[in-house]
Amino acid sequence: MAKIMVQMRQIWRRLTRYISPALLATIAIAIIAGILLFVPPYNGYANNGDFERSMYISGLYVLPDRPYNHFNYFVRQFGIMQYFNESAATLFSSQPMIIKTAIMLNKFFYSTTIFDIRFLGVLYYVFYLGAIYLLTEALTFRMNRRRAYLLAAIMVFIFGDSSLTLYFNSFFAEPAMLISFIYLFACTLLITRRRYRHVWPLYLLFAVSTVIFITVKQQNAPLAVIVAFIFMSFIFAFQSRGAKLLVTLGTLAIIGTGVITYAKITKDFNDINQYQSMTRGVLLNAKDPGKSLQAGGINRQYALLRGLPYFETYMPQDLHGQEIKQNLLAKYNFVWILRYYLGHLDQFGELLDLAARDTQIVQVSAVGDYEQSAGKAPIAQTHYFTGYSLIKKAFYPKVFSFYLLLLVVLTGVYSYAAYQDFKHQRSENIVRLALVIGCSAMIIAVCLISIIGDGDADLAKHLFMAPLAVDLLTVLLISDILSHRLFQFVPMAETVSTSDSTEQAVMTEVQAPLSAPSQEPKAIIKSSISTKTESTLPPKLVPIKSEKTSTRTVSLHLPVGPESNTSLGESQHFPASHKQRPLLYAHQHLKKESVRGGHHD
Amino acid sequence: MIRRCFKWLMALLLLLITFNQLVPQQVGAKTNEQTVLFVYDSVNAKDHGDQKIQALQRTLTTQNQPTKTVAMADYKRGELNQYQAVITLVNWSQKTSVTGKYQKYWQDLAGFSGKKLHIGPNLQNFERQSFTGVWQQVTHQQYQLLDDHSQAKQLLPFTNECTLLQPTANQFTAGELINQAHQEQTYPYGVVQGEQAYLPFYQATGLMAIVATRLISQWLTATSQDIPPLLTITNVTPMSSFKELRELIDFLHRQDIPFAVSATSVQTNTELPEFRRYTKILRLIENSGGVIYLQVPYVYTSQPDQLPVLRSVMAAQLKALVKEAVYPVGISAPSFWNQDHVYQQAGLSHSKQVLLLSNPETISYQDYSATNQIFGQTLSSIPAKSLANIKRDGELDIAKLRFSIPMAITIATPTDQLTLKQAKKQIQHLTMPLANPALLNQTGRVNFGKHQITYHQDKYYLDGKYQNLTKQDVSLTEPVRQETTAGTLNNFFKFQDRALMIFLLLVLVILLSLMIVGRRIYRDKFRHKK
Repeated sequence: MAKIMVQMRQIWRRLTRYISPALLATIAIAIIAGILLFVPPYNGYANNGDFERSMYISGLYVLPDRPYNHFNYFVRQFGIMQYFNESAATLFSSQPMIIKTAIMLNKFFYSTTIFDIRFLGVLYYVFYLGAIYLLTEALTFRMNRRRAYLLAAIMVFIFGDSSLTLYFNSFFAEPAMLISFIYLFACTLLITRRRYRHVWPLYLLFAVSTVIFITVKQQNAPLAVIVAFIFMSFIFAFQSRGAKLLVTLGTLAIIGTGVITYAKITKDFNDINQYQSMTRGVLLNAKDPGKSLQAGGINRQYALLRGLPYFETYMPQDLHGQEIKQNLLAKYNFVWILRYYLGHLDQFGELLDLAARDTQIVQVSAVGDYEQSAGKAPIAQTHYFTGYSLIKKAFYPKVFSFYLLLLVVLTGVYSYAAYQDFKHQRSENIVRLALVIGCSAMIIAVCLISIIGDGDADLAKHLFMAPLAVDLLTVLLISDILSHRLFQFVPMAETVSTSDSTEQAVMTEVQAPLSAPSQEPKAIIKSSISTKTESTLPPKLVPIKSEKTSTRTVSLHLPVGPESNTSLGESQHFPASHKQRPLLYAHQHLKKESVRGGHHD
Repeated sequence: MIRRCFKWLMALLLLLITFNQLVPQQVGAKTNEQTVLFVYDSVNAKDHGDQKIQALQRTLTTQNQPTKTVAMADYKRGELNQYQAVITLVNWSQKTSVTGKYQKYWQDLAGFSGKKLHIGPNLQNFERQSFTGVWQQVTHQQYQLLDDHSQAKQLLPFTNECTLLQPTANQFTAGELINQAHQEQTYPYGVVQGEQAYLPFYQATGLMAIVATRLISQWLTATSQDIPPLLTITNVTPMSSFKELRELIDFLHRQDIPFAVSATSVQTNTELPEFRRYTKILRLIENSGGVIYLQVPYVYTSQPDQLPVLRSVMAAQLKALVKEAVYPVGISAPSFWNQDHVYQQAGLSHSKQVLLLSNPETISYQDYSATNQIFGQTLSSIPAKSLANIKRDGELDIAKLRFSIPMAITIATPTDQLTLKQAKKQIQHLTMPLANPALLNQTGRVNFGKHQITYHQDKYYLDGKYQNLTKQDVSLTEPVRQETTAGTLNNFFKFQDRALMIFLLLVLVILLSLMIVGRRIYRDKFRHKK
């Protein structure tokens, strides 16, 4: 038994030496999603009618000589247009750009006439794995090794879920939203936690992810405000006016991107949303729908369209005709709908509860996940690695007030650390609070936008960002609990190799005091320290978790060499307890200019 | 004796088997023999070629001619020989004139001995040779079409190029083309010579459509009837403007004009008062001398397995209408519904009385069918406004206009006072004798589920029982709904829902308490202690 334990420990040591938690999570998800997407029977989502929006504009068409089943079966191959593509864009989106990249890959490796959707899947897959790596890296940074691996396992369980990765083999815009938002989230944490020495690639990645996230689906245009709010919080990380101005300009640019995306919504698309916001929203739960319409100056007979979506197969009136445009759509707008809901709060509440009920449904149940050749029944759903989405669907309360409460509670919980950071002129937890508020607000906003903008039509798909935000908040909360930084500031910003090497190369990026002149370059400290603890961190940071320890903050003012680059600071606050001394010792070979104390974190 | 009996029995059995094998072949052969093959070169939707195709399909269905429609490009060699008659429609002359194009078809047509009708340009040499007369190629001319039956005239659009026949033998002609610039220069519009027929051009509306149908009728059946058209108000929906519609019904009732209404309905929300408001209008139509054709729903998407879905949609609509004492006498549908297996079986087959309307701009097939379905009586639609500029002796007059097939003159339901005024004007212009459904000897039948609506001589019957046109509770058996049972796991998650909420509330309370305590401590720091 003891031998087995020893062997197990050896395996564990070897494993952890070469595979970091982030890499482990990435490899595991790569295997899980790879089997789902690229190993027969291939899985993906069937077309629910949305594919055409991005397919034709990207130069693809449905192959006429093969069976094509909307809803029932996932279709893998499409034709590549060989002549001039006269299809006009039905909506403004950055998605065709992604599809065209996949077509290029397809043409290079496979065929110039037949497009295999798996090339699009590969594209999403690779970027998704990158996003997972960065997110796990951001969350497990400065965390006890065992806990870091535990978190990596949780990451695999949550983000390896097939309900998310199934989207990759489809022409839905959701995978781009999923990947770009994870990058956005991870970059925010990595920047504020100073995980990497060079931050500009992270800012660049943040910018690209933001643009893709906002422009990939017009429904995301209002969410630009939330992303702008998160980015605006970076203002606390800078002291110089120039940097603050840049952050402000960046914030305005994000809002501008949202405004442009919103302005680009086509009339047809707007008509669809407007129609459904009435038939699948206002009329849906109204006690007397005819009366509601009449009160708003609309022909009460339109109450008979209650519950009928725009793409209902059999309709009593021509939806493309002038009559419905003049007598219904021209008579109201979203302000009308908002005013109506404010006057009928009980009905609005019911619809929001309906949205809350669908919030945790990620797998599109209306379409099949298998190819027809797989021999499955029409609209057959895969259950491969869907444990998390199944639990989530049943676990979360199905009332909207829960998410409001979650917003308030999370804001309250994360505010304490943010307040401490504010008091001590630090930025990490302030940005983290902005991220938490942003994600929580996104859940609320997505529900409100979906109900007001499109009623309950296609709700599960429209709410896609809500479960993603919940997932990200969940992993953030777990990581903060596991690393004991929920209420505390973990003072070192450093890059630590997570391998179990006894000789750890520690690269410490030390920040200048916020009050210091911004032109002072930061110092990069490289040292070699010995550690035999299990922590991925040097032992100097462990005491933070000790509640008995009086954590006294000290500041190290470190010499700045002329070779130092980017100016993020030169000093850092450290808890000064006896257990933190190794840190101080570790840096004692550096010139210690002063030690400041007296604050209790 | 037994052996003899056995021999006789064996002979009888052999005879039966032989007969059984022969009968289907005979039926099949007979069906094919009676079928018309309708071949077109191109849809050419840009020049409304699609409307010509569907109007001709409607005309043939109205004449109870089972027809197969096929594009020239899809024509298979030898296919023609299975049919009794063939119609060639050239929609796009530039495409068809390419040398060597569609040779399979033209070669088969040259050897075909049945009835042949060519519509449009690019008349082949062998086709020209079938007619006696002088062929003339005319360019850049405008003609007036004169209906030789009613002496009604209508100005036709300008023609770039067409081939006209100046017959020298005694042939059946339909209509006359009078050159607008040189009135003395005339040509027959349609010509029938034996099995051959020719129309230089064709339009789906106006006087040309009426004259062309007469020619087709003469060519196919060698008969020409005068059938009064049925005035039909189309596009009536539950969302129509009831005020204007009521005024129009009152107007028709006061003028004693018989009419029909093509009205859509809903399969859901029938419990709403708005549905009762709609059926009240429909009952008013029935009580004002009108009949109702249930218009099939507007279709937007193609989806698999729609046969049972559509069947249930139609049944639900009819059931809801019958419950409100509204009894449709037939089904009305756009023409493309008769070119689709699903629509034919699940939609049109509900009735033997079918009104075929022109197609909307966008059409969506579920399962395309090249062959049309034949009904008891089919009416083909023609818009009233296409007859508005028909003149007789220089005056706007269509009193003498006669129709050779059952037709419905359609007027769209008014949406406001202006369109109401226009509709009334159009109706007043229809001075020809109109069909009165109440006086017709034909019986309208609509089936749904196990029920049947019958309309005969202005009386409505449901399952053979006479029905008053007043709202009453018509007993139709309702399906029993099964109640769902909640599992214990559901109860657990319901409890867990609450537990999570309570936990969050507790955290909130703790946070608030800490905030209050913290604030108190903070304030105490600045208070002077006594």
